[in-house]
Amino acid sequence: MARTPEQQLVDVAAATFESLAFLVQVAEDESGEGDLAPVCAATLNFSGPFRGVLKLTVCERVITELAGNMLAAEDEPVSDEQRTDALKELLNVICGHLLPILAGSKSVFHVDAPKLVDAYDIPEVLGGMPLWARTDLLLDAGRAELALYIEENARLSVGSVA
Amino acid sequence: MSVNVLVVDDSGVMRSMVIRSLQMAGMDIGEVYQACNGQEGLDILKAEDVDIAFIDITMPVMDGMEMIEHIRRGGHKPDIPIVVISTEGSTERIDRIEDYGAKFIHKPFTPEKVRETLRGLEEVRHG
Repeated sequence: MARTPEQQLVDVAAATFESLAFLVQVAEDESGEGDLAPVCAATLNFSGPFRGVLKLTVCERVITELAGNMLAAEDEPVSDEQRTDALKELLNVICGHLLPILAGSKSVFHVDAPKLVDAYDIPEVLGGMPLWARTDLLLDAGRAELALYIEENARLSVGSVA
Repeated sequence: MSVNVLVVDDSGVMRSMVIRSLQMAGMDIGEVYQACNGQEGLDILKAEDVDIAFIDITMPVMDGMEMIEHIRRGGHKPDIPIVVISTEGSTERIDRIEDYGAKFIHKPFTPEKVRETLRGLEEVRHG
């Protein structure tokens, strides 16, 4: 059975969190204590066979563990710059794996540098593009949310744009 | 003999991960030079004694493809071994990278993948 757009997002994001930062997807009751409210978000614009924006939002504990694990900084302090750098790089890797799934492996995209944005908002339209899919990801370190906006009438390998 | 390494990536976190993976892959590293974009990387190649370059593709100022083109088309050290470490998913672009004689590692990567790639480079260099 074909994977839904949301399942595709979860598959790629979960695999990337795990392989890049050893953060594992869990059931709701295993995500541990702590505030799951979003505190940091980044977006990444891409263009090629179609245009889109990918937005990743994470809670405090996820961004802290993400940066610490990527840097292998066991007891060393991680700076705010390293935390946001880690988030942007993770988003970049998710996008790199997602685009060939959406458009086919031969498609060539230009991907802009990720940038930090407001964490408290997943609008229905971003950059003039409608929300195509969004998903919550529960990790052992907390919650992450991924939203994908794609221009209307885009021709995709999976799903479809309403 | 130790190897002087250049790592070019706009993410400081990713540069740290690359360097750590090289160490974990057993590479005998001498000097480590770091650059945030292709232009900085070219400047370091001119000024320093670099043995191998690890280059990302998507970067500001000058991207990795442009940097590799500069190197291979008669730039400084045109034969230097290059390993591209990138999120690039387009087979067309990866083919272009390999046409320049560069090896390609997809992010995220493991030290085992780095070790395997370095071994492949050695085989090419020594026939």
